[in-house]
Amino acid sequence: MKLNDKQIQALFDFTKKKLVHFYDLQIELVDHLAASIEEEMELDKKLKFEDALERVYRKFGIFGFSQIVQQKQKQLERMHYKRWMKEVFSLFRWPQALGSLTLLGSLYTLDKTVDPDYLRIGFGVITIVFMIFNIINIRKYRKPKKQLLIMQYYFPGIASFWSYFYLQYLINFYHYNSLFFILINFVGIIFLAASYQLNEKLKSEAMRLYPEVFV
Amino acid sequence: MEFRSVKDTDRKRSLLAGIFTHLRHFEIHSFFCLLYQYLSDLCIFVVMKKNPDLIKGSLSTIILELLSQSKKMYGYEMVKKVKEHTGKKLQVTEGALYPALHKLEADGLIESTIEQIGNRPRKYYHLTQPGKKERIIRKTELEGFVNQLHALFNFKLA
Repeated sequence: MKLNDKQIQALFDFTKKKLVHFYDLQIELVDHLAASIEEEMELDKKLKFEDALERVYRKFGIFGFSQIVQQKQKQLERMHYKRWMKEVFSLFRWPQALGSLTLLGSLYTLDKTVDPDYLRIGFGVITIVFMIFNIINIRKYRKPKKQLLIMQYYFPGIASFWSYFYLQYLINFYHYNSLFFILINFVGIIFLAASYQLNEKLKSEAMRLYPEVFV
Repeated sequence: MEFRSVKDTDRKRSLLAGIFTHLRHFEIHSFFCLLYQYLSDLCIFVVMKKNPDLIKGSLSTIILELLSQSKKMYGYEMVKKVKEHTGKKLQVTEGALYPALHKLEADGLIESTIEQIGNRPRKYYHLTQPGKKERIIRKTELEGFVNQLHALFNFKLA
């Protein structure tokens, strides 16, 4: 006995009630519940949908869906961190290494030619603009119509952390140091570029797997 | 898991401290006893670190094996397959299956695709190339472990 659209919607609502807010996880759980309920109702023709659902949900143990959500979040964090590290290393491989070297060269030239005070103000403004852009982006991508767990890591915390750290540097370091200026900007921009690359990949993956969310 | 690793390091530290105390008092015999204990503990620690799944259970190996038998599978299908193959003697619980699947996916051993089946979307899993290699390694390890257990129990009975 196949479940109808109304019953499938009831299962989506049920997962939401059990605090599974992410669509990518809901899909998997709803399908599992539906397949299991269909089998239960096949075996016992008199069994009601609600009773079958209760019976099936009991199989998930005392923690229900919460353990699955927690574990999934943990695994995704680990996976994103690994992938982010890969992106960082990829920036030092040919042909992207050329870009990184150019960046290093430009920072060196800037340091030699432009007045340190102008540099500090210029980079300060860029950091503030970036922070605002970052906040807007997080808000935009963390609240789609249907939330996706995979997109929760859009613009990882490292970007915000870096901006904060950089602002602290601008405020507190009165003595200009060329080496520090070049290094802090080089590492910062490399990290951000890696984050950007990873985010674009995550976005395209999410769009490929769950196109209905982005409609 | 983290708690256990902290405990392990503490234990190693205390054992090391014991070794150095004995060194100071020239008690060679007990020093070697402690050294032996330390080395055997270290071996167990290394084995557990290298393959924690062997101790905790073999659910991930079962998943990899099931996926190798068919091209793609979804979660409920795996639960059913395990039940069928083992005559309902072995049951994979839903609460354990999905975290194991998500871990394998995060490790890059399996991949997922979404397909529309009737009126609902379904998530299918399939093995990746590293997953295929890992399946063979884990299967060999598990078989070796079972053989060793078998030999050990036969020895004790005799």
